[in-house]
Amino acid sequence: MKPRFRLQCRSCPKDGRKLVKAAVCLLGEYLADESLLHDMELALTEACANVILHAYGLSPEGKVEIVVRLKPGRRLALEISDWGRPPDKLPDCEKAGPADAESGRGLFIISKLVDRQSRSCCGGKNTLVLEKDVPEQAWKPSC
Amino acid sequence: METLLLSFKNGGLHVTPGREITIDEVSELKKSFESILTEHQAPLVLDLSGVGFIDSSGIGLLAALNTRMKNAGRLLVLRKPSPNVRKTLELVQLLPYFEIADSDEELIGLLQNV
Repeated sequence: MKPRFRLQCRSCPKDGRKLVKAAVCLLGEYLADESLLHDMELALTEACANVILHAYGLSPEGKVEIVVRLKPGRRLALEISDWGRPPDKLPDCEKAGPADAESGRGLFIISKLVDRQSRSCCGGKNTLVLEKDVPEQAWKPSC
Repeated sequence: METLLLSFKNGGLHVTPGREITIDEVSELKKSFESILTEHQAPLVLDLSGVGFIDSSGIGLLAALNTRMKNAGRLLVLRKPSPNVRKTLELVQLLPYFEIADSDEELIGLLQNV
């Protein structure tokens, strides 16, 4: 059976941070690689921050959802969803941007941490799917 | 509210943030740094040895601080960034942009050159 978890919170930075920590805690039940856990925590943090800032404009009235899907020994997928403003045309996330920029690094960071990403907007729900191939040795033996 | 620990040592103002620098803390930290930079003229040493996690908002705060200090002809040193902070700075290609001291000897050397 493939493990799958769904977590939700209000769209404010404090709750978003708690949501990410809860998702990483669940990942930690399956993954033994601390560096990979940090990378996934960072990718999720950036994705949730984008939702809170851009989809909801920092209004705490929205909902943020993370779905964690695991295929032990193979890969993991993180789905980050919101019901706010759909994303505009995505900016170029291939470049790190100017060194003195105060913002605009989130998508670049995500692109460096995952192997694949895709977006969908359906029925008012916007979802970003992040996928990471995870080698067998990075999983806990019990998986 | 984010608490910053402040101390003077070797001619630098040492500032120690909490365990995380993320979107959740950044707006409060900005206000704190605004006040610190207005009140003090000493080189700023930001102790990142105990920061276990930093996101792009935190990186943006460091970049803004560095730019402001450089423009004012002042020194900002990042002291002993933790492995996770160093990894994130490397990921966004900003390691060469900062003065970094990985040891207290390096830090004293940087502060003596001011």
